[in-house]
Amino acid sequence: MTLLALDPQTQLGQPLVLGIIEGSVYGLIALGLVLLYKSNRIFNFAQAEFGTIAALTAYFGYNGSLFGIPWHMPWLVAVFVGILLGTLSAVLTERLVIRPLFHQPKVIMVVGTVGVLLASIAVEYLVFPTKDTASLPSVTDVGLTDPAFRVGFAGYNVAWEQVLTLFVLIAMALGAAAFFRYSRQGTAILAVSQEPTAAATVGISISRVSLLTWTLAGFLGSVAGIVSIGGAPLLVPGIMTGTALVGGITAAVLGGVTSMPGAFVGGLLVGLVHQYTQAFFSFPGAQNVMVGLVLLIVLLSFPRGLLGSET
Amino acid sequence: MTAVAQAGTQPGTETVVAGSHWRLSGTGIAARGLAYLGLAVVLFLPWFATDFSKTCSLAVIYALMGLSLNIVVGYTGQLSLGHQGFLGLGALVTANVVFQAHLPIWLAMAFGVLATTAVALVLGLVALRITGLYLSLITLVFGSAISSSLFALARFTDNNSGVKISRPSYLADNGDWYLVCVAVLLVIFYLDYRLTVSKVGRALLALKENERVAEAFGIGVTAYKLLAFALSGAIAGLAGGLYAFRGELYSEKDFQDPNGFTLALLFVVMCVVGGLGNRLGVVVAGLFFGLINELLDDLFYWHAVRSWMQHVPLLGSYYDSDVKASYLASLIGALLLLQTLIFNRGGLGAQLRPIARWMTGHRFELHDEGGSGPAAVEGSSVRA
Amino acid sequence: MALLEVEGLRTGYGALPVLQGITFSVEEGETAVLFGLNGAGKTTTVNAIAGLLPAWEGQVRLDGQAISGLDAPRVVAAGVGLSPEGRRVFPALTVLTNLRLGAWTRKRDGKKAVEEAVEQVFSYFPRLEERKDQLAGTMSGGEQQMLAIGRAVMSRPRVLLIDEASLGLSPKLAQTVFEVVSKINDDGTTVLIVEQNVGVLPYADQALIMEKGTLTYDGRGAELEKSGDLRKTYLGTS
Ligand SMILES: Nc1ncnc2c1ncn2[C@@H]1O[C@H](COP(=O)(O)OP(=O)(O)OP(=O)(O)O)[C@@H](O)[C@H]1O
Ligand SMILES: [Mg+2]
Repeated sequence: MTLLALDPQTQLGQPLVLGIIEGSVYGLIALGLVLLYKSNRIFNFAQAEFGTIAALTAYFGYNGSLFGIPWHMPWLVAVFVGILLGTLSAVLTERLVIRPLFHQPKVIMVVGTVGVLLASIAVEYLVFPTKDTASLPSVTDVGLTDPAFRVGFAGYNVAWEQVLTLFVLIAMALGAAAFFRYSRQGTAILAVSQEPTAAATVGISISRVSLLTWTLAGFLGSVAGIVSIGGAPLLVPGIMTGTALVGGITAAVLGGVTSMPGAFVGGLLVGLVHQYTQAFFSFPGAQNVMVGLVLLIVLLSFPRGLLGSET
Repeated sequence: MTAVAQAGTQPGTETVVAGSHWRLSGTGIAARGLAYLGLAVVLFLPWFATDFSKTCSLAVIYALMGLSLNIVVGYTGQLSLGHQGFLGLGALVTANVVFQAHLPIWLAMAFGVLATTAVALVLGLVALRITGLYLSLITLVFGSAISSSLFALARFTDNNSGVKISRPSYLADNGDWYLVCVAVLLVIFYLDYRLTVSKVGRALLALKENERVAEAFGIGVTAYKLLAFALSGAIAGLAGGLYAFRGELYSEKDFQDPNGFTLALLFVVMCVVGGLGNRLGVVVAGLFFGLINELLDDLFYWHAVRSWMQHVPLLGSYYDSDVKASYLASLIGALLLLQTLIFNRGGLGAQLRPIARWMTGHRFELHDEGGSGPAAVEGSSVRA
Repeated sequence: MALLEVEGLRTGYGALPVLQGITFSVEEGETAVLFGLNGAGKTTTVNAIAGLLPAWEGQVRLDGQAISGLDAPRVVAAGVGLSPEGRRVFPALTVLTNLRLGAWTRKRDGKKAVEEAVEQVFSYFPRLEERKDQLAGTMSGGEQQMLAIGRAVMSRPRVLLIDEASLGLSPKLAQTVFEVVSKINDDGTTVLIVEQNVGVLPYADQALIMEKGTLTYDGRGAELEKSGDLRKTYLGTS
């Protein structure tokens, strides 16, 4: 019955496109999570929140006054400052919370990241008291790209900023893969994650590698925040955690938690599950339930994730 | 009597008088009696203030949630980030049983407990296969999935308007309901104590230390893990029932993200700040975090700070006077959490331990035995 | 002046002392063997020399320069290489990458020098060359031991510390490893090797014996071999 009523454009094409775009954000969050999982063997529950910090900062830099100072930065500058601040918050997290908990059980370190998440949201509310609904303009809104531009794909038209999200994800994933394969620092991160003692005996500074890892993760989280919040109507404290944390962690787990390509694929998968669920089911919370079921089934049947390789 | 410190074998039991190597003096008993009396009076005081007692009920419910989560986090060592799901489920079932089936309040709460216990058992089954980080993820997803789906069904929300229920007339006053909450907390607190000193408690501890070793000693991992989850779920369901009748309303919004997620994190904060596995610490932390919002909002200087901020040259033009105290509260919570993790792993419980031991008829000793601090220093008793 | 000097070294874990103040030195170009029962503190000693464990008291000097107080990366850069206990190779990286990581502190020497060092390691352990693209974690225990020693050599250390070279190896393979270590020594590297296996004695210029955190014997290897008493007491052989 439902099959007869199927509308190929809105039920097949549109979810495909929207799913890939939505999934790109999860993929970006998952990349950062995988990176930190490799080095610390934990999930960083504050990962998505670095993105909120970046987006909020960019918003205040671009749109006007914070602390009474009318900043009015050019869009690109504001975004840069946002990413800088988001990354900085990851660096601070590493120095103030992760470092002191280095030799504690993993559960303790994870709870530490939960504390960072909670503190971040609270600070966002206290420092960025938004009176009205805020929103960060996207590349198109500020005229950097042609607003009339549309990509026709699977019977659905996509705007520039949406394509951009996917491009950014692809670029970041490729960048991360190349970083681990070819760069000295990337290899050092892998070495520390596999055998910290041996890494120290060859002369790698564990503390510097840890800082580097968190810096990169903060950068990835910040970029995720900018691309997913840019152009979205609502920017409030905690928004990235609310919209992308669960999706991001699920994506990372589906991809095997230590695999960069896995994070990429996992992200797109979660995005697609979300969008197709929305197209076919209408009960409240259907998306969350479906993602939860997928996660549960995957974890029960492949405890190491779908693509559990150490790359 | 003068307490004679006898160097001798310390009996391993916690029994107060019998078998103990020193005896309580008459004044000792009197002093402790007074302390208990004082505690009872303090617990009873909110009863006089209707509005405040409603806040206090919430604090007691938080304390119950602390005990519930403590069983999972503190006793079995698994992190749950979805306990708001159990609280909400308890509230949902209790409220709807009263509203739709018109059953008496206590029966409705029993159904609430049954429902959460059953769901917790299912989660416990999952926890048999999936542990550690992955389990914490599963609980996170569980909390957000159940609250956004089941909790929001029109069937259970009186067509999205919220289920209004009322307490029986003999409990109509907020103060009376507060006393009910306190009574429940005391009973659960005692049962939790019985649990930890029982065979089950020791088995759980062994499991937390090392599952495989425990299994080698013939401790059935499966049964005990399920039991822990079931107990945790049952307490949360009870808390949910108390919650529903406290506000005489079930509204899914209380448990849905972002509120729900904040709640889940708050429960974790309570457990850690209270001291993982430490019953008393967790309860005190729960009470503290239940009250802190209200207290901060009412605090004179918070108002003063806010109105003062309006007049600061640069900040003032931007400062939003509506910034809620709850954000300040969650900042305090987060900072306390991190402080506890990094500097003071025993949590509040370790600080309260000397007092708790004195109250249960031991000497007042500042040393921290069995805590997470350095090994106990012998003979550092302060006074009897 | 001896190349490696340890003087009054005291250290331990947390508040628990393990080394009670030990003093010894190793001459340049020699091979010293450190014997001792399980838990005597051998690993603690070499880890403290390598900077993995801070010294509470006393000093470690390399060619007259104090290296105690430096962290592990600086100790490596100063010229001390450690092949740690339990052959800690990087399991999910290839043999070649493992070796290259051994030259982490030699960034300034350039790629060419590193490749030469890799070739040198391959000449010591031809087996590693055959398996250079294999993931280290999938190699046999003996091969991993070779890799761990090879990796420590990659930093061109003046003093090479090897903790338990022969653990879990067949007597024949252990002999091979000792021979390679002796070759490394002949090529100019001073060696301090922790051992339980007396088969290493013929290669040792100097022998040290530890007991409960203190040094109880310090003499020439040949003498220890001759004095049957010591062998009986400390090594349980006769
Ligand atoms: N990380 C640690 N924490 C606490 N104590 C330790 C630690 N490592 C070693 N010890 C203790 O220090 C003492 C010396 O240990 P060490 O590893 O140096 O012995 P060893 O001589 O290398 O023994 P083996 O031959 O078994 O390797 C032992 O009593 C051991 O229990
Ligand atoms: Mg050893």
